[in-house]
Amino acid sequence: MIPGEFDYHSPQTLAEAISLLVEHGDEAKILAGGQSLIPAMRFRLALPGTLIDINRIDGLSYLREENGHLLIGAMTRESALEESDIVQSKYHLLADAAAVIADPLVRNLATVGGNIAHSDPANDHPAVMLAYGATVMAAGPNGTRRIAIDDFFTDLFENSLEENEILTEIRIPTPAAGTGGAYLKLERKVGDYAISAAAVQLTMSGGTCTAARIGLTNVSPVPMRAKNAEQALVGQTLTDDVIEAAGQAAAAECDPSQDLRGSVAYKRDLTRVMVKRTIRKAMERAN
Amino acid sequence: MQITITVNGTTHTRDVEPRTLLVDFLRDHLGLTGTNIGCDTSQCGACTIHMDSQSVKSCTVLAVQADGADLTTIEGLANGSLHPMQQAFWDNHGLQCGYCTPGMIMSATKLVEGNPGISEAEIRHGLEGNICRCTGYQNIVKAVQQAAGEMGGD
Amino acid sequence: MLGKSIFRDDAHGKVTGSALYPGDIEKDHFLHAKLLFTGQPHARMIRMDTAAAEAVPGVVCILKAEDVPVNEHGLVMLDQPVMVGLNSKKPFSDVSRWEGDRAAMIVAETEEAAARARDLIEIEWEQLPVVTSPVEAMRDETIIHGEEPSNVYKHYRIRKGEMAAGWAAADVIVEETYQVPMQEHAYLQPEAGVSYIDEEGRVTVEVAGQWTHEDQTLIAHALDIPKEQVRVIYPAIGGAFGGREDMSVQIVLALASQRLREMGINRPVRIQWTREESVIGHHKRHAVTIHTRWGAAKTGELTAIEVEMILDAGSYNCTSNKVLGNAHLTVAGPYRIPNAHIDSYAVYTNNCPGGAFRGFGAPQGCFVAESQMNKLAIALGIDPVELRLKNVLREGEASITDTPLPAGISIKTVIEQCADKFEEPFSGAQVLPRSFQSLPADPKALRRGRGFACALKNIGFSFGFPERSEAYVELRGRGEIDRVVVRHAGADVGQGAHTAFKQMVAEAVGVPYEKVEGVFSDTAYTGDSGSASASRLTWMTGNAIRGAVEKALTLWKQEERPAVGFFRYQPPPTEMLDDKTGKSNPNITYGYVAEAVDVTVDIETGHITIDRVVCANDVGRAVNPNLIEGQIEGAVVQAFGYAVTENLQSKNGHILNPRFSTYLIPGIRDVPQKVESLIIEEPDPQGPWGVRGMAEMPFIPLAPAITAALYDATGVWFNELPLTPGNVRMRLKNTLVPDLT
Repeated sequence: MIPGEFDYHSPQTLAEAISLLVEHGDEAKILAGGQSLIPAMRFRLALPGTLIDINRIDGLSYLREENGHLLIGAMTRESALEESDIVQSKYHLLADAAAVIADPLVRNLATVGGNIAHSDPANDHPAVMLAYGATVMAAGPNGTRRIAIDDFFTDLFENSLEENEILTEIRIPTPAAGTGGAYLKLERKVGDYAISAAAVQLTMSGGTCTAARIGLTNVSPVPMRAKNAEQALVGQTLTDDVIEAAGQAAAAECDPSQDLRGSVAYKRDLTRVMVKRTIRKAMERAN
Repeated sequence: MQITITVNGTTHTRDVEPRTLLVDFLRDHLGLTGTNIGCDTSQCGACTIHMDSQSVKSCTVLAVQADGADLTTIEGLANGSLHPMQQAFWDNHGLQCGYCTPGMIMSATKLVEGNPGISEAEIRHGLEGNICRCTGYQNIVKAVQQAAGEMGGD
Repeated sequence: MLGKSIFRDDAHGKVTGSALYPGDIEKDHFLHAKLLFTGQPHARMIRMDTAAAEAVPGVVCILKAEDVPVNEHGLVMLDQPVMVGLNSKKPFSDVSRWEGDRAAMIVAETEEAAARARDLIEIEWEQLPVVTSPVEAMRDETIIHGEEPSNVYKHYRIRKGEMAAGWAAADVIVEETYQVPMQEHAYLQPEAGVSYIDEEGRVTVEVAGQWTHEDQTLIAHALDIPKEQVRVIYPAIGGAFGGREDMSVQIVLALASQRLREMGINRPVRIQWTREESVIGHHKRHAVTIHTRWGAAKTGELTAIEVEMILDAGSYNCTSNKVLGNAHLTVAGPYRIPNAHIDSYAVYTNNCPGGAFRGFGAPQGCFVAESQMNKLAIALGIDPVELRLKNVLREGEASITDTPLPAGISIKTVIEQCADKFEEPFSGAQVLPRSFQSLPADPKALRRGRGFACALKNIGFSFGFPERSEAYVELRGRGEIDRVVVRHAGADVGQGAHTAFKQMVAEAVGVPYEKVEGVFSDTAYTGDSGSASASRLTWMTGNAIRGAVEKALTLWKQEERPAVGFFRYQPPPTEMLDDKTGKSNPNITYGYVAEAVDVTVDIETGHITIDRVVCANDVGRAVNPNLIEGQIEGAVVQAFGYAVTENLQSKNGHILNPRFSTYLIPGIRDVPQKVESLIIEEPDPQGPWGVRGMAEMPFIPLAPAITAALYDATGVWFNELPLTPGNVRMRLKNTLVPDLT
């Protein structure tokens, strides 16, 4: 099975890539790691007339801390997250997720930017970035702009990037003291998409939760935050009852659909369990 | 369009359609049929090769993306005698039907680089992307452990 | 030479990539073929227009139902059209009964031209009612095969003893309904093949199959030419597991070559299926529903069983009637049952056909028998191992068919040895009591349990089939034997059969392994071997080899050079079940197996991990221990997939998950972390050197051992597979395990 026909461009600079986007409009697709796009093209689920391969643009792959943020270049491979000392030592939530995305061969090519720009609620990074309160940097013909992650995901496979914009960087706030995060995912088979997964980032102060952000994977048509669950935690001592209440809130506010991974009732129930467990793990790390 | 790719030390220049998958380029254009195709969804790993010194699934890369790259396929692994990983798969009965074997061996050789004492857990984690329907994986783990020791971290 | 773990011959090609699978074969001037599936679970063809397709540049020919001289095939019953379409001489060929029915074969200069032409074929269908529930099909409101009076086309019975007396003697009765799902073989190499006219004018097909001579027979039948004009060759085969027994690309490839010859075109043709075509286009393990009651006395002796089994045969028989027969017998387990009443039905539906798959009905039958035994053990308060030992058949005792099993019954040994081995401490963990009782409750969500099950499985074809295996052995040299050439058709589907054959030849002749050469799996040079299935290949081939070697050695002593011995081994005949009572000697011989497992279940998520499996498998005599361990480890993992991760779903006759992204075969981190093989060698009196067939057996008891362990861990029984996290969690939740919120 091979993809449909397309014109192929491999620009050397971001400016060149953007002008190709401007020229080809919605006919064009950006090829990053290709690990979702190429299979989709093979099944003709994606039929771009023009493919803009951004793998040959220098300077889009990096991981560095700057001004209180971790900056992740859009073309940073998932495998680089696993190998990064900064990520492994300080960004536990991200490190957790990096180890459970597809499989190691896919992670050698798959990119962080591609995972987010694909805006698939089954992908792992959307929930992670929602929990971090990350910022997405987008470059277009009129320069670069910031998009808060809360404003980024707009619909199934849809986001607020303009047709002529390229996602270039993701910025994650460096966790403050007392902050801990975790990502837990349940799969039917290792490497599959999540049945349900939870990303939690908590700040604890003197036994009280002062801030909480929770993202959920694959239990809604659009990547989502479990805001009611967050509210159940903030200002509270995280007793078993409080954590259970947060889990129940997440189960109620998620919006899964029935598929081969399970029924709606199961996925809600599992979301409750995953949220609870992830909160506990994040708490341990916060302390 | 025209691409130039080095495969197993030989440089090839060919005209390809942009939509040509790298695995089809290897099999159909270069006749290197040791790299197998077991699925269309990037799951099975039978098509695993080395591209610029990392393991990738060649069914999920376009040939044009590999323009200028240096590739190694299963056919390029043996150097006069069998590579220690190939020998270890043979010695440990790490294969049955053999269809997953080239991809499994390519993944495994990269995996053990720099890790002669690799643990069973590390091996299992590293071979997650290669599916075998015959062996139950136990002899594959044994084979990789043996080869890792023999390769001494190379 | 026997008992040595000789390294397999084919490994060099497989580790270097030089082994040629059917899709790797290169010939000059290939033409490319594509098959058009009907995509219609039940519909009648009204019109087919290939004009636009034929006009695609590069299209050479398009073959349709009307082009098939005898438009029928099937391993047991010729109930399947080679192609569905109009103007076929075969009645009812215009009806598509399966989404995988073939409507056209397109041959073109390029794969792409063939694919484009395929997309341009227009077909008009009259929709017919799609019947997907076997229970509904049994009402015969819609008849799926027009020539048949009923969708229920096979009914087997067992009537043994006096049921009233059996129930009266029962102190405990367990009554349950079980449902087991379809399973996809998922051999890693999708179907492919090439065909051409060879130098002797034979239509020649190189393909991955399980029985060269059956492929040859069915091709010859459909093309209406003598068998001698058809040649079938197997190159390297990328797994089979029963899934390559039926015709996939064999007949259509031969048909294309025959047509090209008529057109004066002397070019080879190739076809390569995608994974999706493979999953949609070949049969599956059968889904079966079973309602059953088992009675036992306080002392543990079984007193009576009653079974009603409905097997979804799908749209064509394939081997369903034989699979039904096996499930019908194995549902009684390896036990002494004085009173039995069993009714088993094979029913046509519009689902994907069921057919051969490792275990061939025994996994379904055994799931019921062993689940019932484990439940009786709990109800009676008897250790499950003890309960089995009380009830297993001994030499000379009447089995479920009211006749003794063939001599060499080793079920008691495998059960005892498995249980003993399992009691050994492992990885420094605590030693558990023999009784397989629950472990102390874990304060968190993880619970552990242990489970046990055993099984028997016939070796070779059953129910009166004329079993045979033919071997040629040629001794070369002058004073001494320098070289031995064995010619045999048996398919090496990955199990290492050819290595084992050569070991047996070396043993029989008394020469080192290195002196033996093989010519395998080519109808031009070999006799009929029968299929690589039914755990029969080593057993049957060994007997054929012994006969051929004996003849060759006699000739050698008479100074014949080279000395060629031919032998056709035919085991003692078997019988079809008596129509009314089932009384018969249905099988040649059996293999025996027992398994014990440690399972961890996360009761909050429903996720299961298998921590340890011990498998005791009686192989009679181990020809090559490493190859045997490979079969055990592989079978256990495939059974784990069946029981836990694989979950083939179909709706209105369409398979919903035909890709590896949705049909999940186990990966290296999903599978049981430790499979311990216990190779037992109690000789089979009929087996060559005592060999027993063994490769299906380790698959069979795993699922009921897992459900027993789940009960041990949670107190909840599972009567349905697969045990996906969702299925497990929701059943636990709905069964009100007290500490589940």
